Amino acid sequence: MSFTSSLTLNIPFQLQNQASIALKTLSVDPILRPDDAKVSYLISYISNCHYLHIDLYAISDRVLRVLANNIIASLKTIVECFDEF
Amino acid sequence: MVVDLDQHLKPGKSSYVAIGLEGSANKLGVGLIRHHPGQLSLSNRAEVLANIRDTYITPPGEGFLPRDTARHHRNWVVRLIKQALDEARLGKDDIDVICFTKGPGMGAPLQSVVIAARTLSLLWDIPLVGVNHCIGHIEMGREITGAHNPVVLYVSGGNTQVIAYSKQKYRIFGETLDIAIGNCLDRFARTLEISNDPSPGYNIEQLAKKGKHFVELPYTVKGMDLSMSGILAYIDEIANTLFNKKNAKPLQNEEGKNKNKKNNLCFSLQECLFSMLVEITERAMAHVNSNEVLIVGGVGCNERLQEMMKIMVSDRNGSIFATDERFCIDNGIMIAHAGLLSYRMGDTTSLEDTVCTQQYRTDQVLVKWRDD
Amino acid sequence: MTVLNKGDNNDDLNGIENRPFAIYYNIGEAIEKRIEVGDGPHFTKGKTSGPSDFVLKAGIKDKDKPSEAKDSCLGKLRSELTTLQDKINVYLTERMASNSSGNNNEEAKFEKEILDGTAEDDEDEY
Repeated sequence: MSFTSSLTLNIPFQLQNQASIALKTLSVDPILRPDDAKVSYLISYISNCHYLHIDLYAISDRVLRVLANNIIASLKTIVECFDEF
Repeated sequence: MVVDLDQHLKPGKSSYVAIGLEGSANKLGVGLIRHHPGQLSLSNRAEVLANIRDTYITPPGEGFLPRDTARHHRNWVVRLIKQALDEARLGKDDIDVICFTKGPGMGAPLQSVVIAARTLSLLWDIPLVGVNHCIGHIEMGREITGAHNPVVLYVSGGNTQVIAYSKQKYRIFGETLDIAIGNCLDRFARTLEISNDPSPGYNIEQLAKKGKHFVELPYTVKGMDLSMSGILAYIDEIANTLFNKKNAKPLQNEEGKNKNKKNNLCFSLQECLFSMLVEITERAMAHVNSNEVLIVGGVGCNERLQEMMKIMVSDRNGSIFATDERFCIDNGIMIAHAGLLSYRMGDTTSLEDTVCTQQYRTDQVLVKWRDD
Repeated sequence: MTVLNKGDNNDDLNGIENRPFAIYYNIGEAIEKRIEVGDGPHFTKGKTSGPSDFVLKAGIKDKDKPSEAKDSCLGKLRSELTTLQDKINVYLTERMASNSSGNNNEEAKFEKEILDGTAEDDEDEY
């Protein structure tokens, strides 16, 4: 099975620390079915912004959707933590 | 030999503070606890600084899906942490360790909470400790009641276990072979379409109080273990025959009668299940030669269960210990307490080891903080 | 962790005012689709992150909405992420509907497993 569908999420943070914490927090959890999907993370600095890039690869759009949805849901919790504490 | 719990007190601090995050099922709990140096004892109690909980409640007749439960936890976790810190008037600098439930429990809800735990740990530079949910119940129960070395009956929606301590492990003497007791009661509540607010089990208990007539049900103790799915199927069948026959809506004047039937069924189910629990608990007491029983877990709040257990225990000249709903229903403070005990023995959980696990047996944990 | 300075190769990011965005690729169909959040307004309450259908059908009030965003950069980011989540979900759902073929059952199982865990994990707690 090949990873025909992929999605790159690009999330801008003001601080390097924030992008890095988000990456560490998210990347701990393994992919439930590694044969069906793959995730990789990268941080870059572009136009005064620390971007967290999350590359998702999946065998189908449905698998891609559930992965992307879960990761963004977690990201929202992470961002809320940054904002409140 | 007595374990030394104070090798890791931070310089300049005179006590330890832990925050605990629990979300293994439909309760989201955040607790803050303080330990003073030295062994915990009646004169050196743990201090509860905050203990906040929010429960995800489903429509009547429905169980809860992990995805909705996870959504509940996700959307409340940051607000609850803030509220707990405000209530305790503490900030990040006061906290020694962030404790979270590693398992057992439902995957998605556990995961939605550990995300917040990891983020705060990295943001505040405070270590993490992953806690076994069952150990949390046991240690909090011991701390609150002062029970020294009890046989523990752990009864909740996800677990039914009789546990006794031996050589730094909480060993499981008997357990359910199929569904948990709380699950059995909840599912019967669904059959009867009883409200889930505040909890289906609580509402069954109230109906059972009004029941008088005992309906014979299968009694399925198997050695040290018990089985409950057959009993549930049996009583569901009775209830469906009585109330849920299509085209046979109860007539106005039959409503009172139906109410009584419901009460009697709830009463009978409780009596039957609780008798089985009493039997295996008594056997475990004889086995380990203990005369203390500690009841923990959500079903442990049930007054009838406590009463039946008390009758058995007083026959053996023993004592029974139970906590109220603040501590027996899932909560964050028990996670903070058990995690802090572990932290005081020098344990922390590295980020890579914070992946939650749905299966995590009580006897997998090395109880370093006890050496009796 | 890799930290990269994308020197010249940052075409994707030019002209974006630091808002989150996504790019969808499909190798088989040679599709590249950029998903932007747009100017807004954006909110933390998303269209695709509400209660599941069976809860909605029961008609109970949703007491578990996310907190509102603060008036801060991070508050703004959280709202924008919610919009991005909605747009991705909608786009991929539309794609799924137009190409429904192949092992849909298997994938539906995968989806349920991620959202609700494995079968033995379905028990309730109290």
